[in-house]
Amino acid sequence: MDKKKVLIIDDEDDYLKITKLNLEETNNYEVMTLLSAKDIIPGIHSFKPDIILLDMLMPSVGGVEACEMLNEDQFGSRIPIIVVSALDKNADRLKAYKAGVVDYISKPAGKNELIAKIEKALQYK
Amino acid sequence: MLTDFFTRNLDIVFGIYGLSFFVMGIVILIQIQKRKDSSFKLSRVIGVLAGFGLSHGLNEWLEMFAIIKGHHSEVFNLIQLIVLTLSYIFLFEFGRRLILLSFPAKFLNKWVTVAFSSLVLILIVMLRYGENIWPRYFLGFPGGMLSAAGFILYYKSEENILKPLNIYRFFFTSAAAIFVYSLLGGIIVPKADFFPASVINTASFKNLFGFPVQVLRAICSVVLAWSVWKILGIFDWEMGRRLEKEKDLAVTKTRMDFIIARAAEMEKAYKNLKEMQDMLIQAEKMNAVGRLASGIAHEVKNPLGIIRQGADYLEGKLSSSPEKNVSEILGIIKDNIKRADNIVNTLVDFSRASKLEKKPEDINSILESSLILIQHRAMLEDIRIIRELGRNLPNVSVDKSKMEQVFINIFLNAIQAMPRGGNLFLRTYQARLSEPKNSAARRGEDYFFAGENVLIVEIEDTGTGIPEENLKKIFDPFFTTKEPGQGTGLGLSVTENILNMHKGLIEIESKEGKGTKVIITLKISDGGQDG
Repeated sequence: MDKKKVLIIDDEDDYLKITKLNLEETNNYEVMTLLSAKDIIPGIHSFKPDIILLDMLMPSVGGVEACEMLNEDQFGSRIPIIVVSALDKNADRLKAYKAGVVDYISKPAGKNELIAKIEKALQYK
Repeated sequence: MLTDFFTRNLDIVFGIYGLSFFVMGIVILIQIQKRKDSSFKLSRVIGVLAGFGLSHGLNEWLEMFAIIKGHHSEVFNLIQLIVLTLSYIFLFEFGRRLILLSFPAKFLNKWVTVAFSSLVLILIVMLRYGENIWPRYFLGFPGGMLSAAGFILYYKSEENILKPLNIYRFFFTSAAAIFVYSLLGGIIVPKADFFPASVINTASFKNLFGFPVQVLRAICSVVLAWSVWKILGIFDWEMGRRLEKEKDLAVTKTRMDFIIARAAEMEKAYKNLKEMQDMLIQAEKMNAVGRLASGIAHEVKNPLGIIRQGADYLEGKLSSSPEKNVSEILGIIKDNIKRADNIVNTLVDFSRASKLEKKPEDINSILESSLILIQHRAMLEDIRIIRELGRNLPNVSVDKSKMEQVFINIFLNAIQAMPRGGNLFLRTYQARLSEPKNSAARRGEDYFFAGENVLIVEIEDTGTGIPEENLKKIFDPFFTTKEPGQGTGLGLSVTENILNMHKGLIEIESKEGKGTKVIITLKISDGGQDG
């Protein structure tokens, strides 16, 4: 089975490092991480991810803006996005869903929850 | 000419003379009736002067009667003598008492009057002549002198009050009139064959001055009566002043009542203001806590996310480790991540003044759905859930998930209060309030009014109860009696907050060792439009 490509964008370096390890350990995923959403378009074109895990609250380019950038990109608009954020107000969720994300995970979320939601999202791809 | 006129009309002179004394007596009697409580000491003795006025007036009228009738019978003379003597005893006694009011003359005791009266009586009885001379010499003359001195002394003793009044000069005219009168009536006596009556008598006076002495006596009596009548004005003045004082007092009292009423109003207004201020401060605090909580939540949840991912990674790597503590410790780490997350969530919930999503709901179904989450735990703790739920209850307009949070909070507290099992009663019923209900932090329009139809939810446990000193604090944020890590101290605070947002009310009754009853009062839905 081909490994699914997961692009994780988060401004927390440690988070990226450990989540990458957790996902790659399953041998089902190939993970690329970005510390900022501002390079998201070149990132998807070079990496060609199957799914994107996106943080909401980030400096310079936030999650919603990143979604908008992806929506404007022909390739990007077809990639399912899951938000993984420490913000968990209904309003934040609503904003994310309106921007086109398929799921919303509140931090702190465990590895299993993350994988389950990734798999679910990939089914609809 | 004048002599002839007065001599011929002596009856008229006696008439006026008697009338003025009589009027004086009557006026005094009327005045002292009204002035029993006067602070002027004169009021205590003036009655005796009335006695003199009336009896002496009568004496003059008897004289007038004798002149008109033209005869002097023995009985008539005796009556006249008695009346004359009596009137002079009154005058003597008045003078004596008047002096004592302002001058502590110890020798002027009542025995002086008795002694002089007795002397007169003895002289009359023993000598059998000059009868009406003795009372004049030994009672009328000294009595008049004492009275004249008494008026002056009395004025002196009350000068500070009497001086500013126009009345004061009448003490002098009274003194003068009675002084002259005592000479004219007490010294100028009917002619007798012993000294001094043999020389100084009414006849010699008439010869000397050409008119009868009674004319001057009558003038004196008019002046005296007039002066005394004026003096009695001090009682009217006093009465006026009292009325003024009473009026002042009444005005003062009205003012005081007004001030007291205003003070009460101010106090009430201040209390309302204070409550309002407390509410605003509380709201502002909540707002600040809300902003802070949201910030903290984000900042804490991010590292928690990292730790969680890290723990998961290590778990995968070390699950096969021979070291048995490893998996246990990883479990502890995960539990504590969850705990920290819960605290942050509760804090956010607590401070979040999120808008309610109110809909007409059946309170029994909300209770049931809340129970699902705790049933398992209740069973484990050997707690029996006893439902006494009302049927066909009206709907309440509530946010279902928030109300579930309320009930779950209360259920969890109840379960924790029954470590050795017990009963958890759930009651719902409709009630009509017999009296208004409110709590300090509520706004006026949110109060429950007497007669209002409400829905009551009672959740009662048979647990350990809450000590009285804690009852007041249980709604305070961060107040907890649980072991560290067992509770955030926000549960009941959040519960109260949610109920406040619903315009509902939570009350807690508890007895240590018996259990706790939570009573929730909710407004009955008016179609769900009141949110």
